[in-house]
Amino acid sequence: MTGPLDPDAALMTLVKQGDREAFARLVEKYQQPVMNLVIRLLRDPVEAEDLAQQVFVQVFKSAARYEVSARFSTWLFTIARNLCLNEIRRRSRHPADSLDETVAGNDEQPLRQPADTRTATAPDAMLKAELFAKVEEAIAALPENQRTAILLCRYEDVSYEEIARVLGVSVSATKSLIHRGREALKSRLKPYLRTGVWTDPASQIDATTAKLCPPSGVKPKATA
Amino acid sequence: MNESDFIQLREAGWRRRLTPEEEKQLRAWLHEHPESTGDWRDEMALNTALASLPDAPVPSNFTALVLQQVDRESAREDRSTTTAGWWTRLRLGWLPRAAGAAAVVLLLGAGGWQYQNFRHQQMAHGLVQFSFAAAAVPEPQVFGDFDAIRRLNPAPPATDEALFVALNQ
Repeated sequence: MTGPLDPDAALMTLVKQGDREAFARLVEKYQQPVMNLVIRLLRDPVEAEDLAQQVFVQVFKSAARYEVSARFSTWLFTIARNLCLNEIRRRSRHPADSLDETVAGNDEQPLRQPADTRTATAPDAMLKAELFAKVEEAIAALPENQRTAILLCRYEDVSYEEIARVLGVSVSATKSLIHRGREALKSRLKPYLRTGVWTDPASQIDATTAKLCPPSGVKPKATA
Repeated sequence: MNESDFIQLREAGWRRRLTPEEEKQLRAWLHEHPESTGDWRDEMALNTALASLPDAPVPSNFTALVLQQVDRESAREDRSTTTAGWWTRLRLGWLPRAAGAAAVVLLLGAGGWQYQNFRHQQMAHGLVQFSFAAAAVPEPQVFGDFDAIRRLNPAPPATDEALFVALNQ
């Protein structure tokens, strides 16, 4: 028995027939999740944007090979991951210019100037930004498969079976990857996790556990 | 609730907020196992931290950029298809005929060359035979006395005929 057709699969059926409007709708819908995944796999915002575009170009070019039986998001994330892995392999063969490299004849001017996305914010927001930076750092330090599993696990509508298909492993292996990745994150972020910043006010469990086990009071180190 | 149920709840918590019923079960479990409380707090804090990670910036014209790139790729593919089409026409069109004609010309040329070789060999053979035959002919001085000898011994043809008749009888 087959369930109702995935709306994205229905759009892909139109894309197969060359419908650019349907394709544009899929790009609009998935540009953010793809960008979130690609930027955290590549760790280079400029490359990530190009590669995220390439993911969708690949989707359009390979539309004929898409099988409606598979969920579109699984197929899309598989393409995204494969392109990221190719890029990581390419980089390991041809290391890119260092960010510290300077323009010839001017030691003061760096060759690449990343955009400064920081803005003047309140101390609380600065603390949160710093905590997020620590989380991003910890995620970046994970092995690629654990990182991908944990990032995809954030999306409620991406099931363990789909994550397993993207990674090309079994469901139990996927859960094991997530577990190991999370253990590594908890170990790295322990002092930050216990600051109470990430307590979910809507959760009664948090309130209960707070009584049983109050925050440790460890504050993240202030940066210069 | 046993340990396996607890693990299942923990895995559910990785992906979604627990239902009130699940939270109730969990509270009961944590009350019985206070040693798990700290770990559970870390789990929940990590869930919140991961869920609230800021989205990566996406340019407002991202879709337009993708569509432009699709157009560029399509144009590039069309060009390569055109080149491929030219080659295909060449390959499937007059190239086989030209190759066939060339093969025929080559065969004819090779046949003609072989025939010429054969003729030359024949001529050379003939010349060799002629030179051998010429070597067997007597010296010209011998022919100087030929007419005189012939006059001395005229053999009337009638004698030969009479001999032939006699032999037949």
